[in-house]
Amino acid sequence: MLPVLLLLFCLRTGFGASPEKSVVQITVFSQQPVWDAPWRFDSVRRSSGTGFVIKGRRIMTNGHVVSWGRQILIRRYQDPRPYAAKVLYAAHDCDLAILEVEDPNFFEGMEALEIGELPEVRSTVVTYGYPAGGEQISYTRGVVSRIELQSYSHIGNRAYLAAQTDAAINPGNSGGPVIQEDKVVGVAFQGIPGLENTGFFIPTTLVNHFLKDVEDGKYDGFPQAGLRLVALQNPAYRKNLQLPDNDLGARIDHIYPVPSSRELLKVDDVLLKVGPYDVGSDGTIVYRGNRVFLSVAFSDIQNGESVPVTLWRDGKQAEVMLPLYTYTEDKREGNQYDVLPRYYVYGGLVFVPLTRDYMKTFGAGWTDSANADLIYELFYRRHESPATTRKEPVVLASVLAHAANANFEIRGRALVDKINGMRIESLDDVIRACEDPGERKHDVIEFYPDKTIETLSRPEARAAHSEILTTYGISKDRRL
Amino acid sequence: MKFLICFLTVCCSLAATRPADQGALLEKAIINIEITRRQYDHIQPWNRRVDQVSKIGTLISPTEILTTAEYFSDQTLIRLQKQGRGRWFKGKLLWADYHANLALVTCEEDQFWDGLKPLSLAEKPPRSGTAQLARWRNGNMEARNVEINRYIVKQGKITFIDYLHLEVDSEINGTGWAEAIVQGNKLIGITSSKEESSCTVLPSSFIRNVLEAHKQGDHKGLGYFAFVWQRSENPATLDYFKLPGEPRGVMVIDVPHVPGETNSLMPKDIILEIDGFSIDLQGDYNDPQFGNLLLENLATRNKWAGDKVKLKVWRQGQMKEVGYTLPKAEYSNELVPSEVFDTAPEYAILGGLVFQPLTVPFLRSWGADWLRKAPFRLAYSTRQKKRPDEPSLIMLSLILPDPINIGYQESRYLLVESINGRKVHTIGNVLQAIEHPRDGFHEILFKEGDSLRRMVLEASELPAATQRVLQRYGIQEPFMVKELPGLKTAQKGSN
Repeated sequence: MLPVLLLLFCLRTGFGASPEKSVVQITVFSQQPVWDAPWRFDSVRRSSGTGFVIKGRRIMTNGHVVSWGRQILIRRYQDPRPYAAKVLYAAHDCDLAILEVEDPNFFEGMEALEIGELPEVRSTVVTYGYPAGGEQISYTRGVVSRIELQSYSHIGNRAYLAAQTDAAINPGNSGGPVIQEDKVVGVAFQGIPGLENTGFFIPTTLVNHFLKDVEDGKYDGFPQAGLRLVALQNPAYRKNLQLPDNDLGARIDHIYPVPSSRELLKVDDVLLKVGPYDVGSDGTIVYRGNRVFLSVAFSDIQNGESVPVTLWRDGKQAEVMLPLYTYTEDKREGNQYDVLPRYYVYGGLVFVPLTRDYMKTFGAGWTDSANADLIYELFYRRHESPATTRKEPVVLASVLAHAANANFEIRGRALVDKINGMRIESLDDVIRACEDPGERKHDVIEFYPDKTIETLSRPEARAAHSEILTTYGISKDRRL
Repeated sequence: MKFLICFLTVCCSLAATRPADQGALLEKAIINIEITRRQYDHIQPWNRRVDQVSKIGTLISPTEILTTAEYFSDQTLIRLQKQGRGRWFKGKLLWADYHANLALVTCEEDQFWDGLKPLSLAEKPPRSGTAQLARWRNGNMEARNVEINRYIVKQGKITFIDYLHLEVDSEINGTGWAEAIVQGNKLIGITSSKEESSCTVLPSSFIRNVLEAHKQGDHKGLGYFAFVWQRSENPATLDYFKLPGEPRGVMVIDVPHVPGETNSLMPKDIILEIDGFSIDLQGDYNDPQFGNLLLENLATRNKWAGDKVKLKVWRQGQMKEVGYTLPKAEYSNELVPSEVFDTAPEYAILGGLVFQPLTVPFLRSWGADWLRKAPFRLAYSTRQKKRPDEPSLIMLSLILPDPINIGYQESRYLLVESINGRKVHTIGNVLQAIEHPRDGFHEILFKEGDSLRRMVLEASELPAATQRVLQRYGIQEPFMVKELPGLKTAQKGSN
């Protein structure tokens, strides 16, 4: 008992305040859809996380704590009563969320925690939270080990600045404040399996970006320049670009289809300075004392704002004001939350868009076990063959067995190329092709890349439609 | 009555040779073969090692030993041992067909043949019953019963084409090394692989056809159907294509480009007959000797590469007779060759950048589960088809660190599109392109993807850097290449 008391004493004398009173336990009952039978839902799961009070009588936590929440209950420090809450804003790209509590009495006696600056590496921080293994608040002290770009696993396809600490961050800690000198310097959010004594927290640069973003009442997200930037340390390449042989400059190797970037920038332009940051030849900048990858410079910018860029082009220096916007072309490659999946059922054939969430129906090791054609279509085609990339590739997810489709040999997990001769660019095209009013006896479905053809008798498919929906308990044949 | 006839047939067959006689026959015909062969480290293709493989051969003529072709590639020494013990004799490979997985071996020492007597190949291998699997085991002849299960058309062990195989049920461990399968005094096949309790056997009918063609000097190699088809078990599909009469045939869904193929088939043709054999909805035909077999067998049933096969197809509402010239089975027909035999892996080292053709032997460096373990983009290339504008793939497989390649050293497994503006499909292309720097630089462009697109090297520094790399990493040859058409300065490396 003595060590615990000592710790509490130290904390209180060290910080001169009681941040724990502003730290809350969040219990969430969530339910996710079944991505290959999207009219169904998985069983309800109970999970818990942590949050803290911020200005405006709101609570900040992680996006992953509240995603797919059916009911969110919040408990104050040493208060037995649960309060219902709801999500005001969710920023799933940076794994943050803001909640509001319906009961106006909830915030009585609670002070908003102040958001601080990016902590220094080697400085001490304390995480506050309600991790698994007990019901009371827990405090763990640690050191900021490093600050650099990390993959954000909640969204799955974004990387932002993150701080690493040896303070224990366990399940249940998620969303809790990381505190230094009474101020929040980060939000605990993830660990890395297999790495012991290592946790990560979202630094306040991202927290502040999120708070500023939602000032207009909606969340836009972090803008992207859409550039593949590579180090420029090879002397021959520098000479080829007539660039001085120094430590500055990262080369644009590819520009993704972001109109502003494609208009203002060119492949082989060399970025020398982005905003106030000089760009090193290894593709890094010094960001508040930390050498981090250059993309961090773009994450300071709000959607629609511009950043001044100094670049090297055709043997001389040039200045560009580069507007930045959120990039959604790769949305389906990331995890999506709180928006029910799209689907369409026709004659027992279940069509869904190809998404990362759908791929997860292959199981925990889906990156190894999933059909390689689906992996290529989802993650590689847009890079390798933009001209053949579809807006929303569609998968025949499954076939709901019925006499009308009993002879259909493909039973699911196949990419749809054409229906009745129409190239399928999106789920909407599937509906258009299947529901065209033309007099036809058959619906012909072609798959890719192996070019397999399957056919349904249209009169039989249409006659069986209602019966199939009833048999399989599907209230609506589509969700768009 | 049918049962009685079968019973009598089996009795007659077994009665033809008593077990003791059969044992003596086998001891005179079964040979141990030991092969010493070069092996390559495909990640560092200049490295080579030697390994040994032991397998079984069966004497089928006074001076010819039949075995499988597997493991004869890059052989440096063949040794033969008769009667399961005693002296080893030096053997010689007479002929091998890797796609058919058949080889003939001989010995130039007369003494070897003393006391040996060939087994004859059965003209018509049996469709059922019991046979014996024969091999030398610790100096003793082991002849154990196996059960003839079925004839099946499936992919050969070291090829991408399908042909006739026999499956026998056997619990004998460690088989699949060309052991003889005999019934009475006849060789009915040799094993090519084993999976769980089933042995795959090359049947004597297939072996005889290939060997006879080889003997007559007109063995043009195995041909195959390069088109892709699907079964027609969905009657709605046949109805949509207005095929009259009973449901039958299979639908062509892809006709990939293959060099030398007369491209007479079209996607959405429904194949109804091949060489007069009706094709059913599953893609089978009724073989007079073996019953229902997959249509692929009609590409190797008394047919060879370059032969024409007659097909009756239903095309766009009309019955058509079309000819199909069988392309020769060549590993080079694949975008990513499934095998590379009897040649050292090709490569070129330029300033520490190691270029190699993408091949399945390279991908096998990730182990048996390479399809999952190898870099996805490389492994996925094996699913893609060769095209006239993309006949093969060259990759940057590795960078040996040197001052000239600073800044690129983390890059690897990148597919090359062009060097100095010249398209690159072979190592020869790499060496040719490097002779044409642009404004004093070499520009290497990789295929569009999610990784690095462009590298630049200073042309004047490249030769010295390459020499430096060779010396530092103990590599003898800067490149290994099969063909160097029109190259001014390069030389062919030694094999």
